[in-house]
Amino acid sequence: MIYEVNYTAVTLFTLIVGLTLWLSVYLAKSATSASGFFAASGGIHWFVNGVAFAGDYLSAASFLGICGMIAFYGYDGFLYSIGYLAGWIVALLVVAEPLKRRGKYTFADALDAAFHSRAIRLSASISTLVVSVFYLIPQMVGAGVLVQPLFGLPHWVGVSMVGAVVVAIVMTAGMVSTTYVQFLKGGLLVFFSLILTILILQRGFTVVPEQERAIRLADQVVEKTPDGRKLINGLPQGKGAGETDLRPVGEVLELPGGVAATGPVGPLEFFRVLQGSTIAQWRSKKEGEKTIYSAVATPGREILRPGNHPAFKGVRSEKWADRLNFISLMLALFCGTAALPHILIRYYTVKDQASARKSTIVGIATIGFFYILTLYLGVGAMISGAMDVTDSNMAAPLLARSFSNLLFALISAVAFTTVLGTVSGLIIAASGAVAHDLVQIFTGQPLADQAKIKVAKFSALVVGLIAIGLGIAFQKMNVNYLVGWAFSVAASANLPALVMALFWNRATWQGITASILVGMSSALVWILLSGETFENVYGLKASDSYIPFSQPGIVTIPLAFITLIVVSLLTPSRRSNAM
Amino acid sequence: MDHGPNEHQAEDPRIIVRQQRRGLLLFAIYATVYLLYILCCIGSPQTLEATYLFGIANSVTFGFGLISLAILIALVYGLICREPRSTVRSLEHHGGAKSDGGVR
Repeated sequence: MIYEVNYTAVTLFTLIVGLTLWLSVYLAKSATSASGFFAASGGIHWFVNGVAFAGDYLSAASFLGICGMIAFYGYDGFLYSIGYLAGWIVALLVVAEPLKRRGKYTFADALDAAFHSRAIRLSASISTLVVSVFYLIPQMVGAGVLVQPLFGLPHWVGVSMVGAVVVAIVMTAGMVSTTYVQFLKGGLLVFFSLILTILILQRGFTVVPEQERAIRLADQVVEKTPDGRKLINGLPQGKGAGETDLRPVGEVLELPGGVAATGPVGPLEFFRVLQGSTIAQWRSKKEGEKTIYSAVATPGREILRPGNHPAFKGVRSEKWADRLNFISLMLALFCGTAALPHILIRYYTVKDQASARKSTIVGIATIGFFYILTLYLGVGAMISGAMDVTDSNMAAPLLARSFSNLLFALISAVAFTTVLGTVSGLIIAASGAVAHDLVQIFTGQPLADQAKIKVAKFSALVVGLIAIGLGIAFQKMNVNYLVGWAFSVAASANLPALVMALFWNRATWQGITASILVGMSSALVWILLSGETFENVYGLKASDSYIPFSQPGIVTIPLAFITLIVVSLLTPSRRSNAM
Repeated sequence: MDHGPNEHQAEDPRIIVRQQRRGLLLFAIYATVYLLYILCCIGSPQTLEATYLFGIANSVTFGFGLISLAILIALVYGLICREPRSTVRSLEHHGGAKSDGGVR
């Protein structure tokens, strides 16, 4: 069996949930003012904030998604690591300090500082809600994916559990508890990823024995029956008599020099050995209701080159559209980080610009170190003999189980905190957009402190319920795919407006509003009409789409910049005298 | 646990502009390297498969290099910004009151 109910994991999950809830209750008195609730009164230490940046940013997509993608497709998953980290340079060198100087609680504050425009506030808050919801869905799906095999509970229970815990965290102590949960999660994630990496290097590579090859490399056939049962190789899936289950995979077929095992290897030797090895990679093909998984002997050198995953086929394609799709994705990753509302609001939790800068540097170092480890974790999972051939998202936890059940329980619990930390940040960002921006627009004046907190808590509850609903509805969607959407929308809607509002004196409120609306809607329309969405969401042929490539960034980010410049030049430059 | 109010110090705009320019220069350097990496991926994938350093594929060397460069640039920027920014602190450095540890 690949999955069994793991009581150690259940105990650790319970402990972590208990710890986070206790922390929230303990910190509740720090969030009695609006400043405390939305920005932790600007009193978080820069180092804590830096690690919390990592906790906020390293979502289920980073940990479960990237490791799984590397484990199944090699280097392509690492392209996400590179792109995600590159975005932090934009955040540090372009956005961090001016944003801190101008803002108070939300992303709209910084945009609107010089204009006092309801139109900017409205468009920025809508964009915050759209991006946050897009980002929330994969986190909630990730929670369900994680809890389902470990607890033996249905997907919707896992999603509801995460939703309930996160809403409790946010409602009790707002940004203060969210920060410390993210700090805890960021630290745990990096620490245990390092432990796993050391264990991978210590174990080295071992070739699958000749006598086991026929069994371990045989095809695996998964079939869904009309009555909803799952058959594995023609037998019902299960542990009982007459039942069978999926076989864990991840085999080394050949090592350099024909040796059977390498023993411990160094961090660079690890890749030298991989390059000279042959690894079994598993590929699937659909035949009616059956999905057949087959082992393909792949030279290690090919595993370490980009272009194996369908999303990155552009790297080796002769078609210009495929190449543009790749450039567009890498551009969205580069520009998206500094435009994610839940990341931007973290700049308000420190006392000044120097602290904003220093916390970003700590964040970059922490996140960068983790992303370097992802390549070891992914390749380690690929050769662990423990992977679930049907679910790449479980590669990292299953890699841990190939070492010990205790480590499996710890890594699963860390993965669960990963979801908690990111979802808390997203819900805070969304509830801030409602309580601080939207309500002010419709009432015409800012709410009093206590009323603002009440609205924010109610908004957190509503957003939490929506997230639970969407997490259940989008159960079958790929986690990384949805995060890609969020990055594209954020990069198109928010970054041009933010950069120009901060650095271009000629920008007008009309230009900024138009840029956000054009960037957001064009990115959304492009995504919804793209070939990838046709195939993966609507079940249509990708070739039926009129959109030449799926990633919108290369078109929609410049479009938003051009819109802002043109509209600003066509409208009078009158700051602080806006609609 | 009261974190107290959000503090804002008076900062010298000339120093902020100077540091911002240096930041944008570092940004331009990183963006150029990132762009070159992307162009190398699509324009010369065989370069990524080759081994120039440490006997490991350039794809790994370049990937680790880009991540390390980001960390290095962040640290360099942190060092650049260590000069005093606030007028209050500048006076302190010239024999004024005791520092509160805010801006370095």
